[in-house]
Amino acid sequence: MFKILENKMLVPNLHQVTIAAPEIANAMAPGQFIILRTGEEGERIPLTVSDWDRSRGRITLVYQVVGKTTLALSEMEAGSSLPTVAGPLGNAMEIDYFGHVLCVGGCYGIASIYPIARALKEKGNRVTVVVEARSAYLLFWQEKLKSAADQMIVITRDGSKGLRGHISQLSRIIAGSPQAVDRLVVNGCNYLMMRAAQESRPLNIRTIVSLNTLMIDGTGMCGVCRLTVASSTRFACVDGPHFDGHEVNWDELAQRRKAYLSEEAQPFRSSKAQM
Amino acid sequence: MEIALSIDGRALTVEKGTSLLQAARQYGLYIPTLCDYPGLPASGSCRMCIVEIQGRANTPTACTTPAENGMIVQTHSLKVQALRRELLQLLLAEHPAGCLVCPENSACDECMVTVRKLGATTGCRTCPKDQQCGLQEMVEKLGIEQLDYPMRYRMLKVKKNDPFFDRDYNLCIQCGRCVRACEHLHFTSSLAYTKRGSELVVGTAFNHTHLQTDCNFCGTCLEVCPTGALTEKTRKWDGTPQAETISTCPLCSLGCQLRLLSKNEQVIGSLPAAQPGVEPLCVKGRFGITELVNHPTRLHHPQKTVGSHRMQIPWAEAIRMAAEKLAECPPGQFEMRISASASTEDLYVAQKFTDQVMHSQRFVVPAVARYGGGLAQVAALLARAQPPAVLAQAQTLLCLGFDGRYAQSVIDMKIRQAKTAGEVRLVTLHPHTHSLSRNADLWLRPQPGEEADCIAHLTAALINPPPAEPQDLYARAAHLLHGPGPRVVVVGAHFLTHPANQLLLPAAAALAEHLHAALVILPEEGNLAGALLLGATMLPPAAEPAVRYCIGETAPGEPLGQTFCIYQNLYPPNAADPADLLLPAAAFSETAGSLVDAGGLVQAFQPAVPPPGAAEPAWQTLGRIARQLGAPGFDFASSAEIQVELAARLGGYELHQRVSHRAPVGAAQAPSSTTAVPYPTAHTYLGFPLSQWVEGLTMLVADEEVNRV
Repeated sequence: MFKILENKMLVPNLHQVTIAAPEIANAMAPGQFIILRTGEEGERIPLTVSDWDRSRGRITLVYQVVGKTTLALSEMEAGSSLPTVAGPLGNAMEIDYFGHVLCVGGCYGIASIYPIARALKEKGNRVTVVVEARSAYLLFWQEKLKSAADQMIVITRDGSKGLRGHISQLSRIIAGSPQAVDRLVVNGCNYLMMRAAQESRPLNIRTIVSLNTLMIDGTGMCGVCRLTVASSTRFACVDGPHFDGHEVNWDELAQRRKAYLSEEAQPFRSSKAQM
Repeated sequence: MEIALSIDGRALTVEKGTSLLQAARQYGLYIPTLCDYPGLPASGSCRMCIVEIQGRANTPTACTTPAENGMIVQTHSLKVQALRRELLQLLLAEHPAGCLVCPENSACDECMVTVRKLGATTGCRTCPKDQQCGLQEMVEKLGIEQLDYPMRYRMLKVKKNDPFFDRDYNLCIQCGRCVRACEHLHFTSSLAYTKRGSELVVGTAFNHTHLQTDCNFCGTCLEVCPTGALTEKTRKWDGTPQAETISTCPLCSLGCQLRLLSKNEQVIGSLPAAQPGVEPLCVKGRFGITELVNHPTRLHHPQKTVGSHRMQIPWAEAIRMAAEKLAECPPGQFEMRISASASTEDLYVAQKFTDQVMHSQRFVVPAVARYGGGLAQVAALLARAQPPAVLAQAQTLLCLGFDGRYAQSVIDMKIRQAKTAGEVRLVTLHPHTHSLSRNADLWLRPQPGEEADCIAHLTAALINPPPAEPQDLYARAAHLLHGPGPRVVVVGAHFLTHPANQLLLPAAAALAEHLHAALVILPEEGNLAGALLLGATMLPPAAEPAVRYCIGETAPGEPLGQTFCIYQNLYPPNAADPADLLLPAAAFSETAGSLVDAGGLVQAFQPAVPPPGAAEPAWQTLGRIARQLGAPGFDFASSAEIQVELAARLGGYELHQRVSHRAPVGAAQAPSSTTAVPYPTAHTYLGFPLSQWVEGLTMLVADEEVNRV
């Protein structure tokens, strides 16, 4: 059993949970994820680990409420326990000295980009963090990100903070950067990662995306998370989740993600649903 | 008196008392509005309709400013438009609408890979009301391309603990349409403004759930809400409808007209056919239908029972199997059990099949058992019943055993409307607290079981008015009921199904006659009048038949009985109920058909979507079985052909007309026993409690029991 130490809403729909998991915290590397269940009978959901504390043996996840299990997780109180938390899973993000790295985060990616930016900065890279949100009130962890970045850039779709627009601002940010950008790391929804890869392709900047696919076991057995990268089939769980964004077949990925949309809505299609 | 004025350079003449907004609309001039809604009093709260009037310094709202002689009004001057945009910007500063101005908002739908409508709405693309929103329309009309003020998100908890709908007041623009609709269209006032100033929020008294208020879940507030603040739980996922079909609600005898919304061959919503408030629906018709017809347990294909398993089989095999069993069945050993919610077409063909193919008299409509010994009296009352529309003109009303809190709230609304509009006198007779107890001028409250004494006292007081004694309830009631006409006597389900209905119903009829009052009879079954017309009677219990065909009813008895049971319905039977052959039936939303409502009017269904899988209406299946058996007279190609034959037999049966033949065919025969046979009561549909399919109703049923005094 894994005890929930804290569970709170950061901004509408985005929640932060801290779990006591000393072994996982001890083995964690930036870019890795865990798979948890909220009940003995529950479905398994993969979530990126956004922060961890080895000395206190705890991990922190930031997750968006999008379906039955994330909703159930958001309603669990501190002191209650999760029956299973498996991890760390997946490969760690490649951390090395690259020069100037742009770390882009949107949605839950605002949090999951944090340990990556921190590690890249520790390696001596110049790190620019770009965060994207619909509106200023949906931003969080800004102070934390500032501590891991040489520069912070905010994009909001309504212009309530920073640049107004969407991820299409990325090419302008790269062009306006005082120092040439050597690498992009993008975390967020598939749309954000796909568009970021589209923006960087003509500029020929290596772009690493951390994909979120449907997933069951997370150890390469079931094949649910398969996708096409550079024309060959890969598993997001054991081959990823980090891939070269210019090589991912984004259309196929989006189609596979949508395969169970009506089933995902089924638990909520009830006039009694309190969710 | 007429008033002459000019709006946007056009000379108009209007009646005194007309608002500037009404005046402009009378001449086809457009003024933007958000808080205005037909049938609701003007409130001037959204301020979108501000205008400039020559000689006045301010810009008043057109909806609240009466037209005056010689006024020169500009509705779209530069000053007005600039102010209007500014006002809309201020509204948007408190409404999460970042998507409105997002340069990539059109790409979002394609890339949306999760259901995303669970938590709080933070933008249009994840809002259940996307593309059906009054604010989006206004932003487009006023050409807003950027948001001038930072968003102030109110961080209110989304209220999800009521059945049927969720409330997210973070999206509310405080136009007050819901508050006014609840007060002025439904006369309930469950919703009100709470708190003050920037904290102002629409809500219920003491922040209770709607279950704890007088709300009867008519859904009018949802329909008038211009934003996604109020959303239907089961309709969040479907977006804009592709088609609308006018149909009839089969869930009670009122015959309310529905507008079925459909998309991708699924019914995604049901709304009143007319504008809300004019002819609203009750909770069952408004919120029950989508869950009922789309339930995941719906039967799609025929199945046969093999041991403890059910196996899917093709229709041809199912028809062959049914025909074989029926061919072996000795005459008189066949029983047809059919629901009083079935269409008249199903009822007629089932009756004809029983009589002409199976030569059996056992045409059983189990619902009539509810009426016990008083069935003949119910039929007699139905033959005299007037449509509920007569309530609109009524000046004096007597409601006998009627409680419309949830099931027939439409009647409550009509009565409250009449009472609000004029000097209407209302007397109710009911042993329990009921939906009109607060509205009644006088509530006669007998002990349960003493209704007959109560109505006898009332009759006596009406016939021989005692000398005025203010203390005597019956004298007061008689005085009220002798008030001006038109008068209406409403008879509700509590009286119709009462163990003493043999006494109560003739007394009610006599009262109505004495008062020269119209009778409104409100049974719960959708097509009871049609079933009685076709000769549904109470039959004395008989030995187990050799073959039983159930249409929209479950079979009684043990699964191990010797009866071969053919079961045709929307859903499979409960595990314990016997069924050897299961046939999928089409729902009322998937086929053409008709029913006879409580006012004697023939109301029509239209197919809004095709039936799921291989489901079909029961009359088609019966026709196929009859042909397999070589029986003539079942070659109906459509429900219209059945109606023609039915009209010939009954001396008239035409859609949207009152049935001309009102004398029930065979209901005069009642068994000697006068005790009502137990039958699943209230909210039953096609043999199941409606709440088995419409889960939200379980919360209402529980609540109803708790609140029953």
